[in-house]
Amino acid sequence: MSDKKMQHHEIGARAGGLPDHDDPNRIISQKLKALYDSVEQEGIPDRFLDLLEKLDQAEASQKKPETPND
Amino acid sequence: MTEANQVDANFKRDLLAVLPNLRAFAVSLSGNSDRADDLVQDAILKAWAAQASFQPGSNLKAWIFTILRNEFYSQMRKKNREVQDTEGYFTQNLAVHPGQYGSLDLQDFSHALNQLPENQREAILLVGASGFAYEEAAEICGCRVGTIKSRVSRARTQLQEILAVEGEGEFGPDALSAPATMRSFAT
Repeated sequence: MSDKKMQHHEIGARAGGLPDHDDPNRIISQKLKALYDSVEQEGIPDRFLDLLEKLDQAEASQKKPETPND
Repeated sequence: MTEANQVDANFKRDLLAVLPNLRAFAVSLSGNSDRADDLVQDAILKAWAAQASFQPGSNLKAWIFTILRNEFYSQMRKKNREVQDTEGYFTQNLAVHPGQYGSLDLQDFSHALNQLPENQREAILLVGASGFAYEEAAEICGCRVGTIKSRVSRARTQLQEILAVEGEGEFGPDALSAPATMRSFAT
């Protein structure tokens, strides 16, 4: 009998909106996002922008060897 | 602009667009931001070299994630033959980027994540944070969809257990002051 009450209570709580911070899966999802955000907020490090720029230039000069670079 | 140049420009633009998420994946997967950036650099170089084999219009994000993921495992195999450098490396790394895992909460979580087996960690990162569907994650990892699903599920269960235990027991003054001390070293 008390079991039934318990179940009812749980279902009721979920349907009525269990607070977000009480759902373990949701907490994990939020933390995963927060972890990613903290890295993404740093932006793209210059070393990668430089690298892509160099790769781009190398390719451009390969394609048009006759065109001098400035 | 010629058609070929346009394709190149699009490739570069698309690559740039996925880089922040790819880098976050690399940091979270390897648990070390220096190693992560080396992985990202290797992935960029490999992707660039293999550009011709990439079908424009297909999933560039999944493609470069696959490259980085394979690179991670091949480097790990090499490293395992040399030295084991897991524990501690990560906490040390946290001190290097105080802004990166600013809150203690997030540091605990990163630590918990790092305790998972790699295949569970990559599964939950790909699906739970990088935004891939189970099918895409399965393709990236070269396994079946059901395998990815069970790895994600096991990862969730394990994370809950680790976080619950750490939340109860190891939250003394030492656990609180240690990262702060490391932060002061870093700055």
